[in-house]
Amino acid sequence: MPDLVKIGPAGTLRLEIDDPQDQYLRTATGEIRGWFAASDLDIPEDYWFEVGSVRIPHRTVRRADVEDVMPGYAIAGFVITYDLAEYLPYIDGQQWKVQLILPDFRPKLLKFTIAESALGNCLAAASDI
Amino acid sequence: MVECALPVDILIPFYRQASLVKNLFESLHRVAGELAEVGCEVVAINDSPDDPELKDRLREAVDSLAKVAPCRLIENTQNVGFGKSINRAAQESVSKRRDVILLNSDTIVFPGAIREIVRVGALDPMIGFVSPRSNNATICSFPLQEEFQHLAPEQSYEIFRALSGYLPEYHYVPVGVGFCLYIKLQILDEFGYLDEIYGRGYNEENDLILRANRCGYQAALANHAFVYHVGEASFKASASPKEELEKQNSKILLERYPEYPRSVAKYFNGVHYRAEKMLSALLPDSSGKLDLVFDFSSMGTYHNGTFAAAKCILEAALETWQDRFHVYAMVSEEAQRFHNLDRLKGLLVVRPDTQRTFAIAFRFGQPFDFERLDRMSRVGVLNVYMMLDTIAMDCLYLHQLNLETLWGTVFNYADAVLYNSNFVEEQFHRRFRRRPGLKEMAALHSLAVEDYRQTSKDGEAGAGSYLLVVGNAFAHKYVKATVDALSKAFPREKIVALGPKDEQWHNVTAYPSGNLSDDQMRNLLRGAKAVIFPSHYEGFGIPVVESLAYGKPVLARSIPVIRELREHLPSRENLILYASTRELLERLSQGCPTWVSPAASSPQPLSWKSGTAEIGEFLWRLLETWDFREHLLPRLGYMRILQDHREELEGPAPSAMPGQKGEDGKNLRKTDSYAVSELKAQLLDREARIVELENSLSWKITAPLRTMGSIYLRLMGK
Repeated sequence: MPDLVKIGPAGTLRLEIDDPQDQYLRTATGEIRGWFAASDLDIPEDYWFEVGSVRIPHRTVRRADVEDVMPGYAIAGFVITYDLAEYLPYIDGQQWKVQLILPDFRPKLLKFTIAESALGNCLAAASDI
Repeated sequence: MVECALPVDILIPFYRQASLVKNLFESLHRVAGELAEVGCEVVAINDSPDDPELKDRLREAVDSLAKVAPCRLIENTQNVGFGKSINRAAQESVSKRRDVILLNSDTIVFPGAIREIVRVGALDPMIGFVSPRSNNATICSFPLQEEFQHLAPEQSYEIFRALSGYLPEYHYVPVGVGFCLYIKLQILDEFGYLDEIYGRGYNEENDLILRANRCGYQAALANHAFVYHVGEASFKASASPKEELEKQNSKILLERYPEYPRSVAKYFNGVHYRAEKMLSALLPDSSGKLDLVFDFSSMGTYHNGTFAAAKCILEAALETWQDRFHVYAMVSEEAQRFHNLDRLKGLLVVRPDTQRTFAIAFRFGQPFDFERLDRMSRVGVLNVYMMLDTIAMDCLYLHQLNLETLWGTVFNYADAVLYNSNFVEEQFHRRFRRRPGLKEMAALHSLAVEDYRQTSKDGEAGAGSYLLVVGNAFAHKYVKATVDALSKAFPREKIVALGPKDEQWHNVTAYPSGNLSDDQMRNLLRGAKAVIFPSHYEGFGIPVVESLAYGKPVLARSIPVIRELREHLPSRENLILYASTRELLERLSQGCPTWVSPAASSPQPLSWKSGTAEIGEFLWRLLETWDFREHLLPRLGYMRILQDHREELEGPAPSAMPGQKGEDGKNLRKTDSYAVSELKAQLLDREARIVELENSLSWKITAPLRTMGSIYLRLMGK
């Protein structure tokens, strides 16, 4: 995944989504895991993910596994908790585009593909009797 | 136009195996009248002059049969093999202007078979060959499964009788089978006889069929004719090993007719063969019962009204369908455990990847993806869907998948569609064209309050402490907007809401849907003083009935289905309808409604048990009018088309990384082995060219120049 480009003073922040690595969402609800890495700057603590104007809940976690293989880098992991039913208006052609907003960085668009069965389960819930 | 059939010679070559004579001739005795009616002469050919036992038995049998039907015996002076024996007799038949039936000695002819074979032969002037169905004769076998091939003759015939009625009277096949093969005179007259290059047997009849087929003559199977076949009896007695003969003769056949293997493969992969294979699921067991599967493959490990209702129907089916169906649930192990399906007595379980076929596959809920549609078609000879509502198609934000195609397939190819209310039926009718003759039923869920109570005490009206707003997070349930209005209008009122995730109101306790167990849900109902059901769109509205069962007055939006339910509900006095949120607030401002005892005892309402019993009756009756050619073949044919377009239906696949496009502009697929192999081939090709270049004389000659060039570039800092 391309690095995030800092606006203003130079610097890059590496972003990885490692679960699901293929960015293919197989279930209607679940978690997306990823991490940031930086060697020459601080990782902002205040960042968020949004679709449209809706923020998607996430939490910051420690990623010891990444720290082990990237010594010398500051690492911050994150876990996004999603329920696709809440974002259906923003899903188009089984694609879910999530904007990552980090202060001082250009917004980054993360694209996820949704399995037909996951979206199907989501829609079935709308028909709940 | 139907042709007039000619008289027929039934040519039966015998090679050893004297024990076969009795059974075959006894069967011919039983159909003597039919033989006379069709104008048959039985021609037995003894090709084992050195077998005294066969000679005696054949002479005796032929003499005996000749008393009731035309019959004669040809005795070869030396063993000449199958092809030559047949050809000699067939030449006589041709000279007498008669059709022939080649019949193996290890067969038993059942009543009606000869008449039907000849009749089918006359149905199409381009049918040159006809074989009957059998227990054990490659593509003539019916049912096709191995387990039916070695049963006793009478048992095989019984099974054939039970199932063959579903089949059309005939269908075309790439080749007939020599164990019993009707050949028209015009074929023998024009294309000759069995080619004796095939020696003692295997493929000589295929050669003749394919020879004639080059001019358009086809083989057909007479699906309502049955001839039992022991199989391989002549070869068992022969000194020539079967495999060797088969190999030699196949080589000759393939050289002559390269279209043969692909035609056979096409038939085996075709819709008709697949459909026939499924038919054995319509064979009842010894007690007359069929296997029926509930498709619960979408059942997740969470609670909702749909799963709860599906489980109620399943439980009632186990009780009321037991005389007709063995009831299975197709469900994942996790969902089976989560919903306590293991506790249901008499329930049989299969997993969603089952390879079994059931007489009926019944799905509670519409299919939302191709996989579910395909699975239903694969596991059930008959497919029945219960359609719950059209909301996912009606709200534009929900209309994400190819629902027109998926649901359109249901209305055009399913055997029956059930709806959980008349309103839902009308809604689907407004949106979909249905195939003529589609069976439909509006099968309402239980309206019997007892079905929803855990204990009889639950029915006693009692005071509660909060207003319970029921729904889920979907917009059409209108929980959030209603709670918002209630919270503002009645700030001192305690409100409990099912659906919203966040608690943004000071006087509201919110529970997100899906997390509450049945017990938790019941407790919430018990504590409520009234229930509000603000949904704009429902297929049924179970919470309304459930709330009334718990003695709670219900304020529900006046939508068509709720008005429909109200007509049937025993305690309708306690169901107050409102037209808008404003009207709801006005009503509540007059005070919270209290329970009113029902005025008069109404007739026994529909219960899970009685409603499910009606569904069972409906499903059973489907079999009476079910048709292989009208229902199963078109469905499998259409599913094959959908399968070919599966990628478009299912959307992007896992490896289609966002933005990654193939050369044609389509998303690349991880599973696209063709693309991968093509890329590998290109890579190998390039590597080979590099090796070739490096080995070339010009490359070697120019090597010093390249070295100097690279030194120069380094010095120049490039």
